[in-house]
Amino acid sequence: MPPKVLLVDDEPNILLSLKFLMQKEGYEVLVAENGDEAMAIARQSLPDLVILDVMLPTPNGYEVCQAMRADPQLTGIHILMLTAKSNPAEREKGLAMGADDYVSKPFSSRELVDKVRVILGSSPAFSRDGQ
Amino acid sequence: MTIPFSLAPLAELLNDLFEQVREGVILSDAAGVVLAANRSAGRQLDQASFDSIALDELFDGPYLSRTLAYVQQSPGRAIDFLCPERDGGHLFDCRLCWYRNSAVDSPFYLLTFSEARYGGNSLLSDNRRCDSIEKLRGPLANLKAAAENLLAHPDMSPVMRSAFENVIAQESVGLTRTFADLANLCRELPAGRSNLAPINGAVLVGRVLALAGSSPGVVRLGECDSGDVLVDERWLQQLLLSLYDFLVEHKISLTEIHCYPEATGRLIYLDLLWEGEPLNAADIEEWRRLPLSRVAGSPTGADILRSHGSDLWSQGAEEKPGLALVRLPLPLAWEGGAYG
Repeated sequence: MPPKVLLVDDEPNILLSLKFLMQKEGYEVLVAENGDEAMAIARQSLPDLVILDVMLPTPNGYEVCQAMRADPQLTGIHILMLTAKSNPAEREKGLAMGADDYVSKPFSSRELVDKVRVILGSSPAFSRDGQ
Repeated sequence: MTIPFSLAPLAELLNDLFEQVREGVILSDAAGVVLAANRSAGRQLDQASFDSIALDELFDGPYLSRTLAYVQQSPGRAIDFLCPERDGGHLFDCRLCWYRNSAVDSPFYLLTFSEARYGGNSLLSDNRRCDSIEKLRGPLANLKAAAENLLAHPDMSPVMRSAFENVIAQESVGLTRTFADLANLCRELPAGRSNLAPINGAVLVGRVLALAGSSPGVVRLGECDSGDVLVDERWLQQLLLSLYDFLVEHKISLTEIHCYPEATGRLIYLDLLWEGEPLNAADIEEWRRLPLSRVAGSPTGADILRSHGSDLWSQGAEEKPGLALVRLPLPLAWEGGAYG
């Protein structure tokens, strides 16, 4: 079974690109446009990775990340945060909330794919050699 | 400075100077009752007379009373702070000093003040400018991702190709509009004068604790070999007081404060620790949205954090089980400015 990646962003144009990219990498892709939807899909489908935009409407990405980390059912899910802010304190905050890594917009598709491969490469569900 | 002649013959000149200075000047006795006030004070506070008026009838009581108590611990040393007018109409940039001197019969407070239009508006103007620049990141990300996908996957289906081409067209229009808005904003907003200055992190925290009325020794200052942070001291003081009050409302009793450089050496971490669980991110968001004074248009905690390129969060204390903290990273000061 390919790893499941849940994309969470309220911008349809970036969701289109991320979904295409992740599907090209062979992952099963789920999509949510807000934090509440993301939590519901995460509980139902238990993705291996959540790619989570920080600037969601309430709840924002930090609140969603903290909620996932606090939920015993979801604590094993990897979280990669996406942000359109540039200051280093924001990155530290994301990591403190429990994110595994952090990417600033605009990002290179190659950089994002590499980070996803590193994160999921550490997941027991997937081995690229065994694909 | 030692003046080498008697001031008595200059009394009239000094009185004229007192009346001519642009800032409001008020002298009050130890009980806070006004002894003298200049013309500018009357104009700014809309007061025709200051007879038998107390300072807390002119300025917001809680902000003022904590500062009056604080300066008595350090006679002759001034403190800068922000204080709303009693009715909340204006916010004033104040400097207060407590004088005990053998040359005068009784100790007195000296308060100078001016309206804080510049300080608040400059921060908010800078934030608007930074926010407008940051708004470019989203459309740029969308454009870049669509373009990279088109170039990297020339064999994609016509439907996907058309979808990405539409993204490029749509985001280009949006980006052009956002850029034009930013250009207009840069023309419209005045250039800000920076109010940032270095201050030792531990000194700032100690002053805030004293202003908040925290009993000495209750909160332990640990790991404070921090160096200086580059901040707008008055607004940071205001923010930390607001945060302290918020923590007290949530039944949190601080036990320790740490102030130390983080790994990259560009930031100082200010950690406020207590026994118990971290605050929810939702509670932090609630505090961030609070205005820092009762005056209309006052910056919020989020505004002040953003103007310092900072943010704030709550987490468990690493390496200290049972303790939680609020962490505030602040820019490290160095000679000539902050690390960019």
